[in-house]
Amino acid sequence: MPLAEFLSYGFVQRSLLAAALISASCAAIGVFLVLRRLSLIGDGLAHASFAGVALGLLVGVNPLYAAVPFAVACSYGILRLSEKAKVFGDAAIGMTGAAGIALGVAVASLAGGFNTSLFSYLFGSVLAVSKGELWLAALCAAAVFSFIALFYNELVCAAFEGAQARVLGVATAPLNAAFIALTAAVVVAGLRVSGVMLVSALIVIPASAALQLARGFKTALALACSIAVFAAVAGIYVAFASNLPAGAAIIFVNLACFAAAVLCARLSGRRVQLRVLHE
Amino acid sequence: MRKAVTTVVRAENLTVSYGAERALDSVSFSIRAGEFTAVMGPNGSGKTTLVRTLLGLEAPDAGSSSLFGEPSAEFADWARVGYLPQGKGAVYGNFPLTVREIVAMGLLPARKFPRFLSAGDGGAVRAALETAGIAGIADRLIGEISGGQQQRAFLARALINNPELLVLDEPGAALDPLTRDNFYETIARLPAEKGATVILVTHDTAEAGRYASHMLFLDSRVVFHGTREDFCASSEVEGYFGPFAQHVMCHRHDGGGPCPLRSS
Repeated sequence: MPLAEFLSYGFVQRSLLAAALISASCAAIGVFLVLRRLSLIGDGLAHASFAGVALGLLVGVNPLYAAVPFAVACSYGILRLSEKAKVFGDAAIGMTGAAGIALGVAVASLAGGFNTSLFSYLFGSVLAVSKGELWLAALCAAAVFSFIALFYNELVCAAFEGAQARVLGVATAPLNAAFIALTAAVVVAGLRVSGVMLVSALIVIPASAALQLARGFKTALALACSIAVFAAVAGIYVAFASNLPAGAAIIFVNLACFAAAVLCARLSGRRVQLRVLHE
Repeated sequence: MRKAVTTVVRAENLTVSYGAERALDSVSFSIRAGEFTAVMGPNGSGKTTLVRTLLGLEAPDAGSSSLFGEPSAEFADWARVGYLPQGKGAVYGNFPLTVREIVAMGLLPARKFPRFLSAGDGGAVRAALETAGIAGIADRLIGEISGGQQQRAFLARALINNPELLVLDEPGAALDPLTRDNFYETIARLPAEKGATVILVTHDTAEAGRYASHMLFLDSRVVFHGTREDFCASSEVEGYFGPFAQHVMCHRHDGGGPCPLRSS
């Protein structure tokens, strides 16, 4: 299909914009999470938000709007579990995610009749993004990039130092709580793009690809966002042209970008080694 | 306005436990402005727990501590404190931060929200890099340099604000002998030149004896706290550690005085 025709459809324009906004937000957050060894929090929050989606469908509210407060509350639960109950972070994420899936399945089973709708949130349906959901994506992106711009140095410091960032004047507890709550909101907004099962890939893969190549934190952020936006646009085009699910196609393009980044890093590393040998 | 206090660090009956094990047991002492205190003791004696608790990074089970007269947990004026934690000099893989960016992090405590760094900060960063002797590797990634160079980068960060209190937790571990000597010479000048207070956690008895004005020996509780001279004259210390440790710490290696070891 010619690109001009592809771009002329209103629903395609909406889906491209929503996917680009969400993918860039997830990638920017992902750089911090990957460096803090918290990659799996996206997975846990997506699973936890599944219960919110099911509850939304049950009571007739837009599932994403219902899932946002639910996921934010779960993010707070993860922090409380790991801080107060002395549960390791990954275990807290696992428990919260499992609780969300269990609750979602239970609600779906009790209500019955909305399995098809639920399926679209499990695996994403970016081509069906509504105007309201596009606004949610825009709001999340604005919140994420404003937060990162205002607290950039504190976030970098916390990513590098962990709790010791306190000695550099960083109020780590409120910063972490705000960042994880923001992650929860973005993960929910991303359910339309890749679904509960795949949204965490939008957090992990572009960030991991960027970290293969970047030689500075700002470069890593810019590169991760660029890869994510490219993968979102290319993935939707591939999906549209070849009748593939868009969420899966976006992840495939992201994985191809990661493979290319690893290859580039290896080649540039070899070039440096050869230069050193010649010198 | 900063309050004029002479007691910089105070601990009162500080008790910290990890499960059934008591890392600190009713530890009390105070450190006054301008003192260079070496904190020593065997492995597991609570040295790192002590400095982390003093800095509010760990909450005590009982007792209290303060920095510049403020309770440690509430202390917020971090521009007055430089901290080099234990374990710095580790491998950071592909963490995308340059040495220059890490040193610049040290300026954050002196900034108000939003804590942006500007081009005008370059001079302070350059000076700190030069003091630590790492100006030549300023644009290398932290994961690409050696453990000793990383240690110097963190020292530069700790020194960048000319802190009134410098807390160094086993800083010499990853340094070669020449760098270590330069490092300790730099630190040792701070109390006299800038009135800074230094707390040095170390296993290096010779260096502690050479540079520190005060000794704090821990073994979960305070075994000894006092001046170097009191330490060298203490029969209690000799009884506790044996004559060798006292000899290594009290014998002047710079030729400036007699060996005070009473049994020699």
